[in-house]
Amino acid sequence: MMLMVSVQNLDEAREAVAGGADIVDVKNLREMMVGSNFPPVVREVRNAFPKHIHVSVTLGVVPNQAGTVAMAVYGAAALGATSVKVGFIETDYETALRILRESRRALEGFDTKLIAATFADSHLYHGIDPTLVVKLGKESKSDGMLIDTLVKDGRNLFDFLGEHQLKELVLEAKEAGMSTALSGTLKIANLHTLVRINPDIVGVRGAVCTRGDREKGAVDSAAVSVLREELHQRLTGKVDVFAGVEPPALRVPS
Amino acid sequence: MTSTTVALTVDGTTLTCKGAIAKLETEFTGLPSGSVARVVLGDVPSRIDVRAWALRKGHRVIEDAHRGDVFELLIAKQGRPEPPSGAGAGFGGR
Repeated sequence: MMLMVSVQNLDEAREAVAGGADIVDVKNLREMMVGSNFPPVVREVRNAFPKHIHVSVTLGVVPNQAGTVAMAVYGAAALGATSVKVGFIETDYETALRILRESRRALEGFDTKLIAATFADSHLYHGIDPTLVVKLGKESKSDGMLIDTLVKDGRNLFDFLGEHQLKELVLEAKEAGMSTALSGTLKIANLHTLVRINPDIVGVRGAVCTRGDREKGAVDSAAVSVLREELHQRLTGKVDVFAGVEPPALRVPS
Repeated sequence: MTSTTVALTVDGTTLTCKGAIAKLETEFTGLPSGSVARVVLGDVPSRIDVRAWALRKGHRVIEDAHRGDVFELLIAKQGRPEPPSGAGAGFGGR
């Protein structure tokens, strides 16, 4: 399981990598909390690290304009991003699919991976059903999927989607050949559940910021390192995340 | 490990965005029934997931060994899915 840390600038990216992050996710908290950062920031972060450190670019909640989004996706690829995340809220399924397909087309000739993203708390904004992300990913031939949250009021991913539902979505996406990522105000206390769900990538910010504050704090390498180690303990079975838990029955094709 | 002929090896210990199941789906699917894949995994949840994946797809885990820091599974490709043996089947053997 890879650890993705959201960063706003190069200083935070250095802290994240020093603490053991596998992926630095460049975003801009001033734009809807999950918005895009500026191209020079992405370029600076990309140029600071070797290729095995993945640099993802979030486009946040994108407008319902396929051409505009495809151009932004192209921009992220031209900057050398490992992946680019396209997130939807107030977008109907067909429009989201069209945007992702045009984004896919924009990435022709690049190694940059396309990630379809929805928000677990989408219903608060009368938005698209977040569980459609796997179908969207499959039909648009996206490389991966992400489920995040938009509200940053203390509630997190698991306040909106349950373990069993997320596990099924992750397995379905993996079976479709996609990478899977979960994010949304995740903390060390959520690691047991996360490891049971076992996405390929877990994304954090507040949990690794000074004072635990994703907005006023800054990414701290010591906090990243602690979370990395806690994750390792659970992945290797040194901390048993399955103890006392009845595993959900698995869906088996009839 | 047995002397079974292995048609495909998937190394899930190397950290990549796509895990072992995505690789198995893309590479194992094209092989004929009876083919055997060796899957090397570095963590407990992935081992459980791959066993669950095999069950869902009707494949058979013919070996599941813990060697040092890794788990090595041999999975034989079957022609059709088998029913689960009970609730939570596929999570056993960890």
